[in-house]
Amino acid sequence: VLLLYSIALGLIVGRLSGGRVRNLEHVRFAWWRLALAGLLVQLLLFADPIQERIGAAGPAIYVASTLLVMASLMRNLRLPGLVIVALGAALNLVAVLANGGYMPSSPAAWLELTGTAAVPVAHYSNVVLIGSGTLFPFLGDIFVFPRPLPMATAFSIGDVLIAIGAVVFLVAAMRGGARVPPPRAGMHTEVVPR
Amino acid sequence: MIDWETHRMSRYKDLALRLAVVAAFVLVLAAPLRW
Repeated sequence: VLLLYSIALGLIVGRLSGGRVRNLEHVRFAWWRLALAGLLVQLLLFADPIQERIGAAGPAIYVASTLLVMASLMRNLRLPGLVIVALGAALNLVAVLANGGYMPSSPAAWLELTGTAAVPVAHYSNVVLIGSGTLFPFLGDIFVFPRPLPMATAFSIGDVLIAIGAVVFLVAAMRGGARVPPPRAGMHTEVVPR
Repeated sequence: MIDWETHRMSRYKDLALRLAVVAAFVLVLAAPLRW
């Protein structure tokens, strides 16, 4: 939920810099159904009734749905900012895949957030505390937002890149920079009858 | 005659779909759905 701030920030900066929300209507995403399918699977996966029952299948479903969205993203790298999003997503994915489908998360970060050095969840979670066996701990959730912010949580270097990329994309798209480029002159010769 | 109501609904749908795709990129890949 925290990263929704980047979408809000992108919309505000885009508007202040003279862009229009309605310009987003013209963005052509390839494989967009794949991205929405991945989002839907994760919304279901982390809903309480399923989270309680998912058990050992959780990490596989989590990684598979993340890969669906990643595939959609990779098809859209020509759009502004999405290369930055992809770089951040790749860093997060390295951390998750190297640790069995779980994102390593700093006990110190949780101690700062909640007063307890534990992930505050009773059932399936895609987060595991960083320990001696953790690979790429520096790619895990090692930062925390300042406490007064609502919905504060721990976040990673990859998350920061994703947030920056999302803001860049939204601002560019609102300013009309994400339209499909017109065909190059000479590729299409239209005969206009007079 | 242009059905303005349908026209407007279709535009909102276009916009909502695109914002949902951006939300998928940000939410799933940055995974704030991890708790």
